[in-house]
Amino acid sequence: MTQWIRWWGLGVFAAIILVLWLVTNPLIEWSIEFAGTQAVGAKVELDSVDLGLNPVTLKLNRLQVTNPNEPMRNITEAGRIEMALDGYALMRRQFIAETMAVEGLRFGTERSESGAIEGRLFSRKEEAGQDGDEGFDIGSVLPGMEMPDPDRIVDEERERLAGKVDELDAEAREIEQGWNDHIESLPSGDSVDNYRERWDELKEKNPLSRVAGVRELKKDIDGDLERVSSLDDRLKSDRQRLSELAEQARNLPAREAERLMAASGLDEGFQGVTRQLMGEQLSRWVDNGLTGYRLASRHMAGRETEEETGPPRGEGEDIRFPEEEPLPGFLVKRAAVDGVARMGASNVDFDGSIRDITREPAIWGKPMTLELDGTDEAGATLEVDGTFDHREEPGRDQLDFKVRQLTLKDATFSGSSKLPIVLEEGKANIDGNLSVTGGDLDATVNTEVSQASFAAGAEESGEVVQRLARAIEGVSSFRMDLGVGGTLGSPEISLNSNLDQIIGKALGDEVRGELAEARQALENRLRAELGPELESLAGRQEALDEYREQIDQRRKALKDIRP
Amino acid sequence: MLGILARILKVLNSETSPAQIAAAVLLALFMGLSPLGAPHNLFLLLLVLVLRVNLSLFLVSFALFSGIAWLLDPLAHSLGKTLLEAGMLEGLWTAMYNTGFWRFLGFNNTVLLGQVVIALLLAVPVFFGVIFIVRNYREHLKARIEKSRLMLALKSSKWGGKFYDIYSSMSH
Repeated sequence: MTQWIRWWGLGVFAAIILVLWLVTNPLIEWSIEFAGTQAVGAKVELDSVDLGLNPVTLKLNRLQVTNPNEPMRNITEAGRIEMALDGYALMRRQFIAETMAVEGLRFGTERSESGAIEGRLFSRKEEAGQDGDEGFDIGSVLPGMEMPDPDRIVDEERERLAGKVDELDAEAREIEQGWNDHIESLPSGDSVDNYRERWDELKEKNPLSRVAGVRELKKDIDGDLERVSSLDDRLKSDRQRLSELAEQARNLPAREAERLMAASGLDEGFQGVTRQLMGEQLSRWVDNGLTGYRLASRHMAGRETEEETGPPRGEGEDIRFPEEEPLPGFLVKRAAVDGVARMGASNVDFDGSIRDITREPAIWGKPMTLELDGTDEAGATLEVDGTFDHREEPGRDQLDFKVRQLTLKDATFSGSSKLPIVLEEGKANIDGNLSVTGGDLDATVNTEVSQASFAAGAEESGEVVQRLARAIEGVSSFRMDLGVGGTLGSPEISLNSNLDQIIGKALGDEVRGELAEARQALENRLRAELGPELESLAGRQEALDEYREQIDQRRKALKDIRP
Repeated sequence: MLGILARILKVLNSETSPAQIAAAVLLALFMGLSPLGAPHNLFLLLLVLVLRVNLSLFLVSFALFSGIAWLLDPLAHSLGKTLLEAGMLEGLWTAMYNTGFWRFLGFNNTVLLGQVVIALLLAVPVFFGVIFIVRNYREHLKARIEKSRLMLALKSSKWGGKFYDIYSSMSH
């Protein structure tokens, strides 16, 4: 038997186990960094990892998650994450933490080196950068600058407009064609002659047969008269419809001019001008706000579509079986969180908890919940409550937040080179809520800013822009209601603000006059383009008058021979 | 590489028991076909080191079976999935799933189970096949190969001579 045993092999095995133990921490660190980087699409880094065995604890020191859209910035950074793990569950390949402490959590921190990874990123970033440099072309909404070119718009819209005219024309033709059929179905001159012959024949019959025949004849003529009468109402309604079509044709140029001006953001003068001025900045804020959520939401639903594509080679698929007390593969029951959030000009210290963090909420049976409270030195307060429920599809996430007395300083409202706008200081109260159901986004952020002080540029610009800049600088309080709809991948932003009225007042009738002129020019151009087709539509209802005469003639003929 | 081949040749030509050679190949079969990180591989490694199996042959066989495992991966996944989803085995799997030991081994992974089952199916033919080959080689082929023209030509060539030198140095 001993000839089969190699005693020194035991020593080698022990040495291998020792080496494995020594590389465990770096191995865990590498695994987390690798998996995190794969998931985020930008570098996820850890300073170090400590695994303790009795009790089983895992400590992650300085976790940094790069923002994939801004590689020199972290989405989030945590100073220390420590968790107590269930050792028995770990043996069962389940990562269950009763408690977790996340300390020194911060957002949007700067990185000392780029967190970009090869070949994955930043085409989107480059696009955003280009847009940002260009800024919003204020010329499109201010007078004395470029107004929409009617010829260009008509050229672009020609096909669609022709389609609209064809639509009206087709309906009118259909009505006319219908009347040709109706008239053909009426009793003809032959029918009237036939009735007359029958009447003549009846006159020569005996009284008994004559009475019966007259009754029959009357019945037939009355039937025809009824058919003729039924067309009266039809003729009336079709004439009305043709009048409406003619009216629509007459108004088409004006209506289309209005619609096209609205599409250019110029419909109501100043309604939405703040949205236009802040467009680029708003998109960036919304995008930054959603980046972290997008990354997290990718993993909230848990199971990916492995069934469709098959598992990666060498990894296989873990099949689950019924358990007495089913637990997900990954679960943190309660995470105590504290950190600092940079908001406006304030550093808001916050703490709170996140409960039931898991990728398999359907198995755990509870949604993830979040509660955070914070304050800053100047007295600003922050409250955040959220529920992320992915127990059933579609998942539903709800996040509410409230900020009071937040100090704002040097917030860029418009990066336009023609009209840069910076909110130098102010105090903000913000109420927001975000709801995401199956990827559909519905968010509102209502902000009221008081004690505001704006700095608007435009020294080199024309009189109107300078007037606008002065008007903005005079604003001491304002309201902005931001709405975000659409989907997570393609959010649609809307903004209502009383700054619109303030700007409107500042620029007054001058801009309205220019906008009206531009609209009239567009309407005239459209009228010239569509004129002939529209005119032919205008007189269509008169064609029905001929049918009126024919109906009356047939009715009279029938009545004349009715015994 | 030449050294390893020479070692294998030496083992084949030595008095080492064919069963020990077959055991090395068998252990390589199980370790090579399983995913490297599978927990049971630690136990197999202990066996490889403690049992007096030939390490050179184990390493070469391990590399060979690892390559085969990569090729067999889709088949192993399908086989494992079929077994794990088989209605008649559900009771067995459920009982194992509720046991810490089996969960630790990760038996419910389709690829792991499939590859272990393939290794089990191949174990007996591979073990006895290796014994058969070694015996036949020693009894019939060894002398004929040594005297063959190919071997003589190999010995006289540059690389063949070098290989033969290594082999000779091991034999003494």
